[in-house]
Amino acid sequence: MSVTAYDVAIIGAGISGAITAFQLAKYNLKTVVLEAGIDVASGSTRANSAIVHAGYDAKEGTLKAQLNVRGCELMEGVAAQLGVHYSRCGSLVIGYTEKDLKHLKLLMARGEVNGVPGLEIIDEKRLHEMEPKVSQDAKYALWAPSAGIVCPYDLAYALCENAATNGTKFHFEFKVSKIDYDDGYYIVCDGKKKVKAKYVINAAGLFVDEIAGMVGEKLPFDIIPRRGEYMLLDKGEIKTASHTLFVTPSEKGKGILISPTVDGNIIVGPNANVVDSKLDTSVTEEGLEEIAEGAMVIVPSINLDATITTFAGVRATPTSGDFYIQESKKNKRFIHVAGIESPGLASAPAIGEYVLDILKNCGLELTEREDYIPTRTREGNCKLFYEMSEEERVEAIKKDPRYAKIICRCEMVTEGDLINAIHRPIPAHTIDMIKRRTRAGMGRCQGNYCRARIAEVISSECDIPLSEVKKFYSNSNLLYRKTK
Amino acid sequence: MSELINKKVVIIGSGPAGLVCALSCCQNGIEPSDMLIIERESEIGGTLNQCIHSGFGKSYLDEVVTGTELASMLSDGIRQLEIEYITDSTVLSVDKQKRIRVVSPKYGYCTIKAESIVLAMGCREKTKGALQIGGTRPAGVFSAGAVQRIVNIKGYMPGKRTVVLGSGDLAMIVARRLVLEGGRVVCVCEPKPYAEGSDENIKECLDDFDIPLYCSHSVTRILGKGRIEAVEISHVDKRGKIVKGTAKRVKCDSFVYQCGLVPENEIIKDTGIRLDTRTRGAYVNQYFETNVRGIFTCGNAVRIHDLVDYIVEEAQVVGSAVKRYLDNKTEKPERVIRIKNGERILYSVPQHIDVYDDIEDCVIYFRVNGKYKNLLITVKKDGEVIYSREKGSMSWLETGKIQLTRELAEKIGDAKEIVICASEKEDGANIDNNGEDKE
Repeated sequence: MSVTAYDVAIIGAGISGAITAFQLAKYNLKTVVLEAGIDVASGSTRANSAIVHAGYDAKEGTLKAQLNVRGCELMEGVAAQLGVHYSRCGSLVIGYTEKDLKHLKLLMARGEVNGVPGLEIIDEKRLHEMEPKVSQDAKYALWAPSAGIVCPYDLAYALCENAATNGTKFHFEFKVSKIDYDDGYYIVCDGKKKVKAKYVINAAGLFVDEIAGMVGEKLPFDIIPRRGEYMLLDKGEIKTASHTLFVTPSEKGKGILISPTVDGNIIVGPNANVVDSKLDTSVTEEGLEEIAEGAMVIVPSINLDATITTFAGVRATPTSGDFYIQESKKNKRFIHVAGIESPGLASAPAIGEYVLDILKNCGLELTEREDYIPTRTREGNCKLFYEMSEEERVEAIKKDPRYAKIICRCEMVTEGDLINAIHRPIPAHTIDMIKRRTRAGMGRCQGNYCRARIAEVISSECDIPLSEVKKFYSNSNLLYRKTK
Repeated sequence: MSELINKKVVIIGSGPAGLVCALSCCQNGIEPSDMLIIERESEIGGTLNQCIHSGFGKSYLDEVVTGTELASMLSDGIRQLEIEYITDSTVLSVDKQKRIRVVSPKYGYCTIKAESIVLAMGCREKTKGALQIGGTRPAGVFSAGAVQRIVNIKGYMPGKRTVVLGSGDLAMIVARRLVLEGGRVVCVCEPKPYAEGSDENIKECLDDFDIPLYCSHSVTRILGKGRIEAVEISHVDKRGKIVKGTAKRVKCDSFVYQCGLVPENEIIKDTGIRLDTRTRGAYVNQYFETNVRGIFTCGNAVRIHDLVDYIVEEAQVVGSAVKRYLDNKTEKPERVIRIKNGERILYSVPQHIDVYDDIEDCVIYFRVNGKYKNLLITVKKDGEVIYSREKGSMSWLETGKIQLTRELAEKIGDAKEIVICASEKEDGANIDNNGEDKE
């Protein structure tokens, strides 16, 4: 059996793997992305705060500080190029006491060293003008106008779709179990399948340590799985906050935040609890109570009854506290992108640049593609119905009448959008894959109305029996059996 | 640009409210060709189409039929009168000028300019988010209404071993349906100390099918990665708090919950129509007209009803009111009487009465905020009781009615406001007072 040879194999299609694939797609290279999950953004990228941090948190001189500030600066351009929703809404770190003020000043000084633009400490009057619902006990805030929000999985999809459009191959459910080295190539296996590549990028998120272990290496730190739980509020609550609101960090960490999302919801969370399993994304009653308490310190009137869903994500926290992005000392042309916890999303665009530089230094030859397509797909950054102008809607329906059939009424997603998602460069074939690409089922009814309808569209478009349509994982059939 | 269509009456939604209203418009003399019904499903009839159980139409037909029978009778009426309806068509927005944006396979993306609009969008189910159950988010978790559609319309089972949370009528009817289709319902859990649905349904849907009902119990955790594998059921104390350490694991492959309904009024946010935070429907007068003249509303979009009978009554009132509006658009009320919610009243509809020449006969619907044994319903004007009626036992789940007769109208006179109250008679011990934020 011949094994396909690639220039670069990227292990992991989370935000770090996705940005690397996006960067490499500009050049004449054969690249493959190997993802253990069923889809792009199956791990930490799927469930986090969706914040583009300004960069005043990370200690001066760390790689984290450098990449965070640079990533925050680049994010707007990347988002615009790929048609990803992004908003530079700015963030406020809120202080209540003199002690907090001291800490805010420290953060501001740190931010300035890191190169964060526009930082300011504001008084309670200005704070309450900017955020009328913030607690009356709040006295000060650190205002960071460069901070923003972006949808993490949408960004990851866009990056990967662009890479796929430019020829990058993707293998899903490719659970790397062994890596050999032979004749200048790494041979990456998942038990059944194999690929070989001259360069390997280890962007396996929570599993970077295990991948490193496969080439006989121990990373100079441990990866601790820390779970963060969240509550997502209905769009009707958007006036709760118009900037990302943090409390002054304490020994316990950054604390609970309240932020608008690019889709018009309010996100509340996260806590940070060490968990036994890297896959434990369950929410707990205690966790939700913790978040509720934290949120009420910031906005006492927050309407948590308007919670439409709760969820949790697991972060890959390195015991060293910093990002670790470098070529392996032991294995040539094997690059670790490890310890990417918060602000990994904000840093992503800079991580891409940084990895590219390392590859160059390791001898990877980069010649630009002449036929590079800068958008998500050949057709451009295809819009969803709800994003279209009136004229575009009329046009879309003329071309394909299925755009006139609304499937998800909360988010105004049409059958045309679903069909498009099914056939995009990285195809969607489960309910959750469609949900994250189109927002169908993400509104206030959380798919009560449309879930079965989405399943019907998948069933007919992918030609699989309705009872075989999955929610997400391979054993997650939505329905049980046909009765008539 | 999109196509523009002009209509005298546009009815949004073709459930019992929309269909009865359309028929009533015709009976009152509006030409069928001047009307349009917009429905987002492939068939008209609304939720009635998935209600294959009996118990509908008592006041309208003088006999009790199934939901689907009532739907087909109403639909036949619409077709006989040749009232135009478009299906698979969704309203995206409505504005103050009564322009309705619709996507429809027939008209594409179009704008309809209406002289009057009837909002009959019905309601939607509250989500699991409102319950905040811990655990994972696997496949196999459904709302009761979604299951009813999947089983009755699509012909699929959600699983073969189901746990149900909530004991409202819908949850019990769905539990029975699952058993009839060959499934097993492990239990129905109800966080309250008693079942929410009717005694009749407890017997006919649960007892007769040996489905255990666990009151003061709730589902507190969902387990399973791909498909649901089990739930944890915990004891709930009298104050509704979960008793820690009482969790028991119950194996199941599906979980069905019912946690209440909310009027569906999302599309009207650009109309300036004022919503009542208690009912979550529009503020209406006795003709179910909103604060935007010419826009009416009826059915579950106004408030959550316990019986289709009341929806039918309202829809008929709206039919004649639409005709009156079309005939005399400039007519303005002489004065307004506000209807206030006094003690133990959860809400009342209409929220005000517009007086044109005279106070005409109408009905005030209300609900109480708890479960009571012996209630006295009163209407007060300036603190003085001008109406009183013994109601006996009543809970927030049922609708109360006050007939505003000529006699009562005279007593109201030129008052600017009246207050509806419910007081407990001495021998009537309060059973429960926690229904406040129910629906």
